[in-house]
Amino acid sequence: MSESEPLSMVGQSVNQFFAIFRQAQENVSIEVVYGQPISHDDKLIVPIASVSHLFGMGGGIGSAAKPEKTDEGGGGGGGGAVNARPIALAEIGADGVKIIPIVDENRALAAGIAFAAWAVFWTARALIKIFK
Amino acid sequence: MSKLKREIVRGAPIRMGAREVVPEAEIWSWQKMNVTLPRRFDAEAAGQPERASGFGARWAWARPTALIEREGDRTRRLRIVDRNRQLETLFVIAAVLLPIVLNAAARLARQSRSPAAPPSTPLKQLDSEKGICHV
Repeated sequence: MSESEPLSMVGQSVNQFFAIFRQAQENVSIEVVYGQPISHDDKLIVPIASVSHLFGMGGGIGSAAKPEKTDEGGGGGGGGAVNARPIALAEIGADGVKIIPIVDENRALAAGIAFAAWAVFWTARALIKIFK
Repeated sequence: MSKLKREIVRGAPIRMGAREVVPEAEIWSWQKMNVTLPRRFDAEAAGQPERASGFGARWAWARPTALIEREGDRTRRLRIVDRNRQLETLFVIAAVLLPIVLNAAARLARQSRSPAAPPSTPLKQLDSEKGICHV
């Protein structure tokens, strides 16, 4: 197949398939973890995050078994999830570098409430066992 | 390629005056790809059925590890700690240990509260006073 010939549907699909994976590699890289520095009052603030992604895809194309037929079929599907969570802020100034951790208060509160409910359940169970 | 890969990556340094800060991150990734192409992909295959299929999956996680500060000859490594993850890990460990500790405490409390068990009695006991044979 010469380079001047347009790519067949198969070739285009395969190229697109690899392109998606290549782009996915760039989506989770150090440039995303450490954001663009922001200057503020003679200091540089760098946002720091934890990033993750998960995705899957599948597809197929095919043409009719007999040359006289022009049916072509194809199908595909995929799904994914991306998560980015702020971890800290780095403050770079004349006096040095300071890392300020970010605590998600809502998440901490939810975890605390869930633990409290778990503790109440097991404490009640233990008390019933003792005084039964 | 379906192996779990871990790599430590350093980014472009951030310069501020005489100070240089190099960001460092840890990237975990796993990828699986499978592409099936037509057996013959040349001019002779023209008109023959073309079939191709493929599937793939990818997982990746990038987390910051440290900032490396360089000023003159001095190099300092500042570790980045995920406070949220620390808190959650603490809660998970406590949640796992809590039932174990409470069960053990309940068992000990029951043992200390229950009276001493009576000595085991034989199956047949002759009550000499009443002349009754207990079976």
